[in-house]
Amino acid sequence: MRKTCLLALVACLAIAGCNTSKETSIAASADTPSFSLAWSEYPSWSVFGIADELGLIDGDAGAMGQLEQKHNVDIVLKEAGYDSCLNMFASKECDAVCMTNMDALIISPSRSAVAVLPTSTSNGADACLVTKNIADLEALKSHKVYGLKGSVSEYCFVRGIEKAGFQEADFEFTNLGPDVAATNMQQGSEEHQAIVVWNPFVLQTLRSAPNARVLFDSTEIPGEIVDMVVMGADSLEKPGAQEFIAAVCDAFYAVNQELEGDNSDQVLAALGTKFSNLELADMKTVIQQTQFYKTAAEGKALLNSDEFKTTMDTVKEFCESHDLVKGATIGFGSDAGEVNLKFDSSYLP
Amino acid sequence: MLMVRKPIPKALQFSLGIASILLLVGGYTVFSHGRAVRQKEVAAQQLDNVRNLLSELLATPANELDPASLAKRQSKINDYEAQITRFEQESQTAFDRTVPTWSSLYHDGLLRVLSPQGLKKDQYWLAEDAWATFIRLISGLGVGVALSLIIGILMGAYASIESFFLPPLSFLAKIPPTAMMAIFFILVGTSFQMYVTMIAFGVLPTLAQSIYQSAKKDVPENLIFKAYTLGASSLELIWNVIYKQILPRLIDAVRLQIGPAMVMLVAAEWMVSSAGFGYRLRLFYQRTDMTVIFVYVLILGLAGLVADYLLTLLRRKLCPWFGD
Repeated sequence: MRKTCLLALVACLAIAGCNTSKETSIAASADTPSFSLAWSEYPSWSVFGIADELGLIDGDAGAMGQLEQKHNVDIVLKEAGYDSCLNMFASKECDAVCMTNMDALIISPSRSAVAVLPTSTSNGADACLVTKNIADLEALKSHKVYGLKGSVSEYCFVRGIEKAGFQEADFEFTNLGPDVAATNMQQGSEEHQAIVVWNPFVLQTLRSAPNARVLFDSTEIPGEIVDMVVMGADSLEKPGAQEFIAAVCDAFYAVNQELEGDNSDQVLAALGTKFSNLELADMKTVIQQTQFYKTAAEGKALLNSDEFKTTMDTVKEFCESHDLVKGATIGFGSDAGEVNLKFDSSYLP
Repeated sequence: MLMVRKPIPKALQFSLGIASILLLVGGYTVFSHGRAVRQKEVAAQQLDNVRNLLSELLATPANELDPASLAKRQSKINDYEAQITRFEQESQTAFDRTVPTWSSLYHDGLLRVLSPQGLKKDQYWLAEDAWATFIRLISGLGVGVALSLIIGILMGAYASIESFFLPPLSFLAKIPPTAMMAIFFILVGTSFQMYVTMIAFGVLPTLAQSIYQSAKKDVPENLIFKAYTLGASSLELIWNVIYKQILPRLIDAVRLQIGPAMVMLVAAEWMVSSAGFGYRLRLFYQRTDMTVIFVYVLILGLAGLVADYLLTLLRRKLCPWFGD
């Protein structure tokens, strides 16, 4: 009797576990090229999780969704924490990864990278939050500012104070993960009166800590913190790479259309659960603060603009002065030659 | 004074056990309730703030403003009104996600992991995560136990093999397996094979050592002499005497290795997986939403107890001579 029960339980688990393949998917044939994309939970990257749920792409190896069938390429989605995604990319565990322009530059000496699809830019999604006790930047000097060192948080902070005419050396930026920093401030910790974090932590903290307010945020530096899909230069040379990028771009823009369409609230709510526990109303704020490059035209406009070239100079300067990278070269356009990090808009549809 | 090892009546034993569980549950109830009340107060305070801001704004005269400022003023008013509606609702229903009350553990935790989720309502979190973790654990432990059994018994049987394997095993057993994780990620990748390799090699040094110790010490010398005298070959001796004799120890050793294996597995899933207990725990930790986390932790604890019990049962059934 006991054995039967146990067997039944195992069988139930087995059925539940195997029953994840989608109806619209077909099996990939042996000669279909396969590429992997690593993504972490972030508004414009969770889009790929939604594309998987919608059946546009099937993230499982060997299974192909609608767009994969169209382009004849098998996309394998690998979801992991942001740090793990970067490690996977550096150790060639994946062909493409979702990361920011700054991290792409930092990682590029260990694996040459080509940015093929800009997904969004931070327009308020990174913010310096303070409690009531800190009135302005002058008062901030006497407090420790907590945030993740060597990340876009520190970049946003330094750029913000420089724009306001202050010196970085007058402030004490202390290393702490954004999740921990946000939780501490929400719990009313005496020590954590000033933090620099990104969404969802910005919104969560503003909602649960009555004293917290935004001192300044990334709306001061629009187009400087860019989220994107980056491909390894070595993977680009594999057969089928063009089709892979085309399918990824198609999936991204298709979900963007869904976000504008009749079901937009439903898709946005689904994006919310893939990203955080924020509800629909907050998700609407989130996608304002994380401004999507909704069409290929917007993506091209960014990558080809002169402002973006200047931005990358600023980012490089920041990274070098903070010992995050040494001597990485940046190029723009498909004819940029041998560089560590290339921004190439020619893959966009 | 209480005498050392003085027996107590069965009834007292039982009620003390119940009392400690009740204490845990009761303490949590009081704690989480307090947090929920505080959260409601915070919402009420925010509600007051916004109401004051709104009335201040409405009190200022608006008839002399140019159209642009007027529009700005109106959007601010709308914003405040939206916030008031939200805080009004929250001051009634707000709960603390860091220490959820029992009812929110049930509604936002247990029901959520059991009912279909996702855009197409086709994802069952608990079933998918439990299956992913279970199959990784079983495969990893299976490979690990099989390898350790071979190495351990051979080490216990032959002095040459013992001398060969002992130094690396005692060294490897001292390395915390979580410290080796980066090495596994790089060498084996982040696929299913990585979890199997990691668990297998994680439990192998300790397991092989305890099997070898047992094969050496728990098999009485006279049994070996008897078997040889009765004409057994070395292989027959290993299978019929040594293996049978150490089987209960082996089952116990495996039972004790499930814990460390789970530590490694959850840690690895936390970092690189897109299914499994560790993955879901990371997602909800990042959202500072403890509802699902507490439910998963409870399930993991209960599953551990069940696994423990089943293995003890197995040992009693296979080796009744061993006793308890």
